[in-house]
Amino acid sequence: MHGTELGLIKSVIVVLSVATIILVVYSVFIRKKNFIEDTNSKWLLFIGFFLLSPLVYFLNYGKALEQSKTVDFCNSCHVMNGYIEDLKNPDSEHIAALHYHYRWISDNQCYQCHSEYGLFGTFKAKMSGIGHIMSYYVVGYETPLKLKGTYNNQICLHCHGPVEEYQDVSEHEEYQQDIELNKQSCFGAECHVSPHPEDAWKGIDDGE
Amino acid sequence: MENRKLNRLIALAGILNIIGLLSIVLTALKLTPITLIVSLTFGGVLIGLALVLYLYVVIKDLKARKVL
Repeated sequence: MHGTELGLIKSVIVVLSVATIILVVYSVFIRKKNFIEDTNSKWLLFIGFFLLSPLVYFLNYGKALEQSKTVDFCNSCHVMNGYIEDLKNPDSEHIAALHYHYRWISDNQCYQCHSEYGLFGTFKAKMSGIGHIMSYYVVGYETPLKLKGTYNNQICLHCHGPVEEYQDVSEHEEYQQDIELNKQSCFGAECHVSPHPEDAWKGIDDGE
Repeated sequence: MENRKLNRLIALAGILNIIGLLSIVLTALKLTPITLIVSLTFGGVLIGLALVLYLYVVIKDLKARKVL
């Protein structure tokens, strides 16, 4: 979804919310009529409670889920600042930064590499995102930050797998099964460099 | 007496609905992880609760009128 579309939806949400609030305040607190006896109040509140409020909620739900995929949203948690700083550093040679700078991934770069493809990929990513927010605000977290479980190579293979340059590399052919089953990570001393700097988490305590 | 109680419930529903909508406006204007969670859970619950209260009052009223 483009920025202009999100901006339009944002305006619609704000206008509808304000209109609904005015409608409810007018019906309940300004008219001050006996609700039980007043049919007009019933209809006005029906529109406010049943039509406008759920519409506003679901519009906001869709917009928020879409916007939560952006790099800026990830960067709104202080713990991610070091990672995003490296991502946007033009001199960085880490895999994530290269994907960002060369626009190998056009937008929502964090989300694209940290969500799985398929029917439940988005759902899993959102659930883990809620877990991250809980850790950040409520439960707490340990440093250095570590990826939960093993990184799913299928996320890399989704784009790189069908490409001839990938298939021509003898190591990819040799370890194909291990790569596909996540027994061999794409990142390591003898393969590709780390996607993020090892010390990116240190941005947490530097007071930035 | 019953009408007064039902009118109070509607006023409460109005207040809950307004707070829920304000949390959504806050998210629309400034999206952060905390405003996102607040509007999607807290805001949703308040809007849902307002709707349930409204339904309760309408059903009570219809029963009193012997429509239901």
